[in-house]
Amino acid sequence: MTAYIHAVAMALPERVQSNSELCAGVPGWSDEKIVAKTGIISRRISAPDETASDLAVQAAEKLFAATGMDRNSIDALMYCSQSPDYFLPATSCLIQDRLQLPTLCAAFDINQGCSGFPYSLWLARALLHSGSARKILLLTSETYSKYCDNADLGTASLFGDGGAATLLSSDPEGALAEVGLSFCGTDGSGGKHLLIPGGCSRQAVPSETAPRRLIMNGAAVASFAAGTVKNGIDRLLTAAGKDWSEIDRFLFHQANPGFVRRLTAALHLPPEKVPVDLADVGNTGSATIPMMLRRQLDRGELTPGLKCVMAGFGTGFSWGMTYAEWLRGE
Amino acid sequence: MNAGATNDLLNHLAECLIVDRKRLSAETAAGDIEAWDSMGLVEIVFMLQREYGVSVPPENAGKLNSVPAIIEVLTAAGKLA
Repeated sequence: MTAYIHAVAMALPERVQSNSELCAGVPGWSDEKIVAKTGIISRRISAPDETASDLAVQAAEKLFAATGMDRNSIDALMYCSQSPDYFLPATSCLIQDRLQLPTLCAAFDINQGCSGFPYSLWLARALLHSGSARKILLLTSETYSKYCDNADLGTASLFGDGGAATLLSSDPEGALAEVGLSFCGTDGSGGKHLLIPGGCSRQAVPSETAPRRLIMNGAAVASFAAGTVKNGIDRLLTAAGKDWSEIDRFLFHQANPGFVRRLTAALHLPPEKVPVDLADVGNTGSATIPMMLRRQLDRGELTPGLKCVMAGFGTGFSWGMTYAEWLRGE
Repeated sequence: MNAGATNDLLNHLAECLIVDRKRLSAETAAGDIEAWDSMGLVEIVFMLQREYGVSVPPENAGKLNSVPAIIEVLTAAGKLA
């Protein structure tokens, strides 16, 4: 018994924020500079009263509508996000009620950022493989824009909001892809490099030195990614008995198009094997990889036999790599 | 570090920072080049990995703030000996 992806859906906030809008009045910044540095042309921004769980619920409802599945058959709900509705209860519990999932459904949150999708696949596969669950709804959703200060465009220009829903099952019948091995890793010494220092328990009252906004050391994150992604994929492929050259597609977390292209070059990978997407959405954390999958499905780019590596990396520092083989398109 | 290796490094820096090569010398510091900002550092980190196979530890990424500092990193990694 193993794990299969059966469906993927995504949801975005309505508001589109252009680079020109974002950098209006900020000295030294322009649309051209943001595009040259990041490749991002616009981003989606949630409304003030719109949460990551709202986007996750929208994505889940789209998935239910597209598949016509019986939501009573879901026995585990995993909600991966760093934008919870409340400190407690777990947002997944509230989503269980909003989606009218059965009360016998387990529901829990996973607090991971850009590593979240492979991380969640690792966990989902273990649950499915053990027989502890048979059908899992995985929701990955973020509203990082609410953590950004628009005076700090080096960070704010990168992030957008959005959510994705992925249906996983132990049943191979009709599956889109088979989920193989995953490996995850952690280096908490890098936690300070991508951090919201204020507003939580360590410093409940934000201050000038510990604001309630995202502080990022981009160079440290790049250093981490450049070293970790290669080593992580090496480990994964060795365990899976595959070589780098056998992989048809490397589905990297879409930190931003520029970052993905530079990472691709640093790893000396053929660009045609590394999709670059979400230039119109921005970095949506754990939702970027399933969003990319959804769009590739829409374009008919996920074909039977395709061997994929999905790699997520970011805040923590935390990373996860998953091997998957595509079984069919839609 | 020999002149040819320095010249190669400055060419790579000019390309990744998108600045005129003539503005860079073996003594240039980040403060001399507007594009050598936090995003420029990201470019330099990836360039060092791509061109020299050198992974800079995250703790040291912020120290890549001058050409001499980069030369020191590359020399320590045995890439410019």
